[in-house]
Amino acid sequence: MKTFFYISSLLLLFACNKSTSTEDYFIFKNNGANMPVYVEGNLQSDAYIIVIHGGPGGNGMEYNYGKSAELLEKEFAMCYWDQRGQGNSSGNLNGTLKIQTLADDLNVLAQLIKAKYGNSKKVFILGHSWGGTLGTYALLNTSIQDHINGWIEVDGAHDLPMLNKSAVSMFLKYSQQEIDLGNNVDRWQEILTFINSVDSNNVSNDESGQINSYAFQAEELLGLPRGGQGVDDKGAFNYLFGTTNQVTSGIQGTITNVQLNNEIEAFSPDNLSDIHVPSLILWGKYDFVVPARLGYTAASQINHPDVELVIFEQSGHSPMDNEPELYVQKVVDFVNRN
Amino acid sequence: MRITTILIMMGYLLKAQLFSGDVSYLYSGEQLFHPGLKVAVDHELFSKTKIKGKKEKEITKSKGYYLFAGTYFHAQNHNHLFLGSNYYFKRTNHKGRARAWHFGLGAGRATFLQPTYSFENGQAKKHPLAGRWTLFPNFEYQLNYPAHFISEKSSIKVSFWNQYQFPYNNRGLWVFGFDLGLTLHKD
Repeated sequence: MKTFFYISSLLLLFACNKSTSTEDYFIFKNNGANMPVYVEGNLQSDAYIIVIHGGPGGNGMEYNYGKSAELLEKEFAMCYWDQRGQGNSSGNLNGTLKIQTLADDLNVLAQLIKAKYGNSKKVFILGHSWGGTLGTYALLNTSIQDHINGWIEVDGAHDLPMLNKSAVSMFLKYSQQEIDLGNNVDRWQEILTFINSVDSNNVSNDESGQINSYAFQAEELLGLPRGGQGVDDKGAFNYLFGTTNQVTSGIQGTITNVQLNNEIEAFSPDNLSDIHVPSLILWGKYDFVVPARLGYTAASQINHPDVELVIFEQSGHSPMDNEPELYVQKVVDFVNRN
Repeated sequence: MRITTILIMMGYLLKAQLFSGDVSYLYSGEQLFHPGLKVAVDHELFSKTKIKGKKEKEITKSKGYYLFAGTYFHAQNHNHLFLGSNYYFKRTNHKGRARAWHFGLGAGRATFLQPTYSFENGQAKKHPLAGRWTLFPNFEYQLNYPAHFISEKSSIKVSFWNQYQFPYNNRGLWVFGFDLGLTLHKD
């Protein structure tokens, strides 16, 4: 009996060893949800950046991998947050999930970061894809603008009707162009046939899902460069056995996605001019998932003298993946000047 | 936290001795990929056994009902204390190899290993020992192999299990996994 006790104790000691990569990790408790926040990078920095992950159904730690994360963490404290109902978040939500609830979480988290790390800290929010929807929603429907120093939108889906319409236009243009050039003709023809069957003024949820699927395929077909983002860099082992339980995250994320889907599909704000914080709008030129037209619209309507739009010439939906150095440089410049 | 966990584990050992139950030390792969360590105590309340076949190839069929308690520790995530009860049906061959089906109901408390904060009245408020309560229907398929190289009363346990933990977010969480380790039997 003693032998087993000693062996098990030793195993526990090893199991308890904290990964050196996680510099501060806490659970953010708000309105029935327990949401992990992984703060990594330069905690001595004056700037804390809350990463609003994509999905719905993604998780914060997906943005912790790759060259861009590594470079940004040298400069700033990056806060990878698992939104409610996603990632490793848990709790008893006890009610229908609404975008407003998630936006309220984000608003409270921005204030908690200041309260926890010091009110002199500058807080920025960075939303990618669905994170752009949530960030925009929070800016327009909560008091978060009073608590942050800037908004960084990366290929954010802040207007689904406009997104669907623009994606159809992009597919029509590029699929015909690639067919004419003789590149991947069969696959582009398949996409073109589907797109021709879609009424861009009345895109159904199913069609929207198919557009999304073809959008990721289109990036592959165009052969955009990959600059080092993705799980391969830190290894599939870390991805599978690391802090985030990918299976739980996937199951919960799918449920959350379904619950929010109708509300997201209808989101089309006409008051982006009510956003009055410094804003950096980053977009991939070849983003078929969330076309750059949304970026141009946001940049032209946000009501602040410091609004910068950057179009990445060799990027798709994730410029942090396709062009990490330029992406990091733009974020660092923006944060440092605000 | 390390000391706390080891103290909890010692508590279970003492408890096991008091109740003369089976104690298992297991590697536990929650959702297959999420590795943790599990220490569990089973205390049988009743059982019924039938022996069939000739002596050299006899098969023992048993069924019973037992209470279980234990802890599942997953570094960087949570410590899950649980208890419940299971029915089981078990078939053991003449070599002592057994396979069994277990099903029942349990309840647990997962305590976050990381500090938990909320934002209240302009301040970050810390919540000690924050976590979540769950109920879980439990189904388990177990294999046991004699481990006489360790002791006459031990076996290697392989278990595949399913739980539906609720409440979890808006519904419940289906958790599946496998355990692998040693069981020290009471007799």
